[in-house]
Amino acid sequence: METHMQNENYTNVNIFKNAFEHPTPKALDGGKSDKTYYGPVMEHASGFNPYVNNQGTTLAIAGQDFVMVAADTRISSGFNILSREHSRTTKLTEKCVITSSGMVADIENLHKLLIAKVKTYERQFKKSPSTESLAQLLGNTLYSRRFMPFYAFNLLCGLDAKGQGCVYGYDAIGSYDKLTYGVQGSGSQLGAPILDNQFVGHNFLVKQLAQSLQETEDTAKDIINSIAERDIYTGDQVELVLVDQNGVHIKREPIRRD
Amino acid sequence: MEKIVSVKEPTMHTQVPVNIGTSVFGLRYKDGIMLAADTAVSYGSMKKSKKSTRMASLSDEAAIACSGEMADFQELQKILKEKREGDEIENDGATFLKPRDYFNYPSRLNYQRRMKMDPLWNGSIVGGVRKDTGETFLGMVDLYGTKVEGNFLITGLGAHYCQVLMQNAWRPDLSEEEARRLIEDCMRVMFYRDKKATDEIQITKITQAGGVEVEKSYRIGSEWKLEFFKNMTNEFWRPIRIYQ
Repeated sequence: METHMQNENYTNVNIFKNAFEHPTPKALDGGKSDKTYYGPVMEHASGFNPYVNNQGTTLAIAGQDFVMVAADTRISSGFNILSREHSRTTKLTEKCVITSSGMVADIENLHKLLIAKVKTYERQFKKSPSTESLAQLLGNTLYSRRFMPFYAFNLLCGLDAKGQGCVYGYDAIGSYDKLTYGVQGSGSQLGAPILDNQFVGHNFLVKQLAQSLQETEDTAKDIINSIAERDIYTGDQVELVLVDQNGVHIKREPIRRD
Repeated sequence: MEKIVSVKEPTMHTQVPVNIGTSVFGLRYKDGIMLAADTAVSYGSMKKSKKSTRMASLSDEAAIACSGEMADFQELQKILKEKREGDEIENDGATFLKPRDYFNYPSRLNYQRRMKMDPLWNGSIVGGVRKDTGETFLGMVDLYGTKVEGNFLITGLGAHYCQVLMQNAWRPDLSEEEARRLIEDCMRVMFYRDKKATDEIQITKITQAGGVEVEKSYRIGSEWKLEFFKNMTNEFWRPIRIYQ
């Protein structure tokens, strides 16, 4: 906590990089003096770290009347591959899915919690919650665990009240923003600039952006494939989830497995 | 009046595993599921016990094998037994838990304990075959509550050494003998390379016909009388080059 107080950051940056992945320098004398030790921190019988990153990439692109989600299906533990066919995406309503990257155990818990909340809502109000409501709900759910966060980086994707595609991007503690496209996980740094290029096209002389479903799907697949080329934690399969007027459609395609 | 202050011992949590069982294996084969573990329990670098059982049947169609802290394994066994007995009493002797439930339960338990910062320090593999449908199940759960399903699963150091061995040799139509030989090959590699492993292994078979069979442990052969150990030379050995 202390570390990210020092580098105050309001952007969508992985706070765990500061809080958990880089342990703070430890005093060699057990904290008796103010001296800190900046050498390699020894892994010793020093307790239990409840967080682990299972890596993987997920991205979503909003279209005029659809949302396309593309995620890889690999989960890792260190350099080991735990599974080659793990689904990152969960259907919440007929018009909304959530897709996450981070710690698999936390993500599953979060998704189950949201499903339960959606069911409660449906019983109570005899209708499904809107995507906007779910976006706020997810933000509140994540923030409710502010002091032991869900290690989950989410994209909430669905159709809004007008039937337009929308993507909500989150950090682990519940800050969120409405986007037209988003990417989370170990390949987010590799994927973000490609998405910027393909779906904003700032420096195009002739601006022709992907509009149709087919173009969007192909681009999404290409981006996951490109990430899999360079990110060792991304690969095996790409799971494509389409949300449109007719509901949620899922399909998978193999990509590189090394 | 004097204040009454309740004196309580500080709560102690597992900070680090102490009595450790090393890797466990699980694989699907033609007739069902095979789980395997060796029988050693280590205390640091010392083998505390060379004849321990690290697996248990959970019902007549599911079994579990555990690596990691053995005290936590025994705790888990106790919890599952109490759960099962409670269910039996509630339901007049009938049980409705299927192999998958015996997997989901420890996974939720492990997640709950992780949230308490008091983990059950185990990597567990749960296998099962449903008697009614013959459907097989094989899953692995770690101390965070991560659930993984697969055709062959390995925990601990075995995942580093034997993953490829398994990947190359595994087929869905492995016979019992072939599955056993594959397990033994993996266990032999572990015996050669993992200081916490022994050459005495135990196998649990789960089949639709036979239910859960926790076999007796037995020793696998190992070969140490190799020329290489005497001469330190073989066809792959190269002298260290010294550059000027």
